[in-house]
Amino acid sequence: MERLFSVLTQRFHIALHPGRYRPVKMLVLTFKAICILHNMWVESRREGFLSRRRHAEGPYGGGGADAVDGDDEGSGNEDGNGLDGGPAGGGGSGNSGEADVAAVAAARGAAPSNVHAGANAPLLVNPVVQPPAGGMAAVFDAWGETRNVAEHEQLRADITAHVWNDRGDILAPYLSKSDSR
Amino acid sequence: MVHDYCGVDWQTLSKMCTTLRRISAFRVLCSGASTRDPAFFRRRINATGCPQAHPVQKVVAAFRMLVYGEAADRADDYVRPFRSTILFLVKCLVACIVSKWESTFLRRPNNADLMTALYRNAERGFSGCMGLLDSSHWAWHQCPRGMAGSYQTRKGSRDIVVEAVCDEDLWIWHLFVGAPGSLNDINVMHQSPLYLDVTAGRWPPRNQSYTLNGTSCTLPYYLVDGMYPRYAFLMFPHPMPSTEE
Repeated sequence: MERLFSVLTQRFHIALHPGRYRPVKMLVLTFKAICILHNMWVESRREGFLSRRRHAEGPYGGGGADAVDGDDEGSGNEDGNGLDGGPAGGGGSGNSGEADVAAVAAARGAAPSNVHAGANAPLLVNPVVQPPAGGMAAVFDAWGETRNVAEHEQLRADITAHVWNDRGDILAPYLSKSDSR
Repeated sequence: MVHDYCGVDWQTLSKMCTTLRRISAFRVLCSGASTRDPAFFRRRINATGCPQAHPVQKVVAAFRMLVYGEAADRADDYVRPFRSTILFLVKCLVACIVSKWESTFLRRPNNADLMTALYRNAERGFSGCMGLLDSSHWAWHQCPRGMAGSYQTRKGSRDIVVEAVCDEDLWIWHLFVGAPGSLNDINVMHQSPLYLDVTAGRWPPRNQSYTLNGTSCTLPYYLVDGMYPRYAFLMFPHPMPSTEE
């Protein structure tokens, strides 16, 4: 994670120097642009990332208001990605079911996260396919579940044991000498 | 410009365009910029009938400011626009990039992306890990004095906080910029859209279970560093790694 921020500042020196804009909105916009360019770079460097872009254009971006943008992306690309929009979109909607996606999109479109409607909220292009099931009770359940300290402790113990079982032989030389192991 | 690139300034050419991919990406950017904001990036004719700067000149000037962090009048002998023009160009370019590509390159992960991330992290030994979450600061030079109190960090400079989630390939999955610098990482996280979504149950989907040490869980987690609170969807490093692991 520290690597990400150092790579960002090395790649875009404007993030290294203090921001010279007056409004916060402009700073936010600039950093977003930097991150978008960074993601473009990552995608062009790594082969596996084309699939992620296809995800973006396929099942969700294909329908609704983003259709024009998706087509534009597909035809404007020079890698011959004109074929991507069609098959990926068909496959994606075939997997999850058109009715489901449409219903979720409608539900999300009605009230798309107005809680954090500030300038920083990322664009909700890909609606989460699992909406909260039953009103406020589900929200409170999720609140309790995600902030659960006991669950965190258990998860950490499990991860510790898992990592030890998995990579214990690699970690063995780094054990402290006073330990019984 | 073209003369500069082809004849004189060979080194800059090779430095800027080392690979064909980069050239093509740059060309896509130029065309995108000029089609998106035709009012300013298009080549214009001024009142005296002289043609103004070419779109490539404008985009290069804006990119030099973004990438090299130069002063605005640094590039005016290389790509000819005036300094105020370059400043305006940077704003135009940034707005154009965000409006055009944010939905593609800075989107939220969908279910397929989550599956991929879980699978890749399980291969690396961290089952159920969605990514890495951390925040950083970006100094704000022009902070108005009235807002200096809320934007002053513990180190004394005026910053804004950037919170991001990335994976091991440094692909940024979530970005939250603009929180005042006086907040620490926890407070920033508490007002981040990601946290609001997680605690409201909108994200992540719980339909994928994984097994850790014989225990089956459905809630994936983010790897964070040590100062984050002990929530079930965050996981920070072991406090005494040399004794147990």
